[in-house]
Amino acid sequence: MDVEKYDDDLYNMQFVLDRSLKLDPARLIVVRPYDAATMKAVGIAARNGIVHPFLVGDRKRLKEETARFNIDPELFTIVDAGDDDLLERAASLYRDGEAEFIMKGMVGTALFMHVLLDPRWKIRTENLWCHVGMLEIPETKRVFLMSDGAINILPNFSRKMLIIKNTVEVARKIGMRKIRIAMLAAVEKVKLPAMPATLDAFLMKKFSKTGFFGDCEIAGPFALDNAIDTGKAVAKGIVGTVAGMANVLIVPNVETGNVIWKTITCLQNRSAAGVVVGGNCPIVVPSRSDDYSTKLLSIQFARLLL
Amino acid sequence: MKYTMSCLVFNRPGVLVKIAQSFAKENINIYSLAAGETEEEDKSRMTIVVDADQDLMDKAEARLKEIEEVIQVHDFQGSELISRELLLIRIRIKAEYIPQILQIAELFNAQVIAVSEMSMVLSLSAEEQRVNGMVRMLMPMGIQEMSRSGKLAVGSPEQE
Repeated sequence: MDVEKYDDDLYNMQFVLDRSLKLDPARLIVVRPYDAATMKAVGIAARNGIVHPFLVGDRKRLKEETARFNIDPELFTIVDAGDDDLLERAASLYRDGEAEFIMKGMVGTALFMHVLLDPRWKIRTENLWCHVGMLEIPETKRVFLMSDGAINILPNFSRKMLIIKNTVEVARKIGMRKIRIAMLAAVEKVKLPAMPATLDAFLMKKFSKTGFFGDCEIAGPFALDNAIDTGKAVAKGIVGTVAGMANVLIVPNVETGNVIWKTITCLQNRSAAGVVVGGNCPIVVPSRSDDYSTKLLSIQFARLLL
Repeated sequence: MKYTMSCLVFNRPGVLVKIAQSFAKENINIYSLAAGETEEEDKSRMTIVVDADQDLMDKAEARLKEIEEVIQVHDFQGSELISRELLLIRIRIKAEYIPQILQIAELFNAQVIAVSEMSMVLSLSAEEQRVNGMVRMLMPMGIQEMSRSGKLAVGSPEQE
């Protein structure tokens, strides 16, 4: 793989996320952390002073789980709640200012998000919510942000604008100085009507000249290889500062984002971090099948966004 | 008042002129006229929209029926009809208007069918009022070129 590294690129995901170790512990609500991966991730985050967790669930069970993972009782708070009012209890902790952000444990994502979207919890804003993933592909010597592989199924142009706006904000918060955004599609030219993603990508590049997204570069459409590999981009005669050098990937639909995410985490067995942004606080919504490492990195990622 | 009528005619040279003359003789302006082959190759159906009084329309209709090539004249007045118009419209691409143009297209269920660095072409097939609505909304964005098919109509199946 041909890569060219800009000096100011973020090139190591762990290095980026370990900045969270230098921050004060943030109060994290963890809903139903009954699985080993969540408990282990939260335990490590608590021990390292990244968070002070509020574990919401059945007190007896949580006491057993924390003991099993040797988590010092001083490091967490248990909020006793039965399954009937568990999510409401958790969300009210945020509303009442008891905690700063929230994480999903063994709860269905749809139900979890549905409850959090209720305006009375003051998590929802007028902004669009989207999932931003942080991925590391060592061969590219770059850390990537990718959106949206989880929330917005088939975003239209307007929604893509908001997804990009959210992702640019995340990029700035994690310290990306040169934000180079690739609008992903399957080909580099506009193909109508067969490939509407190519049209959105082409028009988004033009729209970015208005300055709506601030200091960043947007280009597209790109096939994935031409977005991240300069050699491939050059071979196809694709030029520009984003070609082969992208550090933010905007996917056309949730399937594409999900496949990229799972390719990295399942096929390449690498860790990734993901967080839902757009609300008043970051929300950690890992898949129940994610390993502890992905969950821990996601907590760290969310902590950087506070 | 606007009238929509459908003429089934034999597809022969000069028919269009004769039909146009029937309206011209009554001093009726043709608002739109769309013609095309039917399921039978030698026959065409014309959907004509005119703006006229009832008296003048009756006279024009009588004239139409006298034309040798005219097989059937159907006035849709007072009856249910299914109508559509095709719009092709080329809009200048000005970066700040892109989201609005796409939102309008989505609102009206129009498709972007071609794009270049400078402009894009939208296509919409809809009822006349919806076509008018989209044109009005796109007007401030910079319409470079526009072409409308005129109304196409058939009777509603519920009337059979």
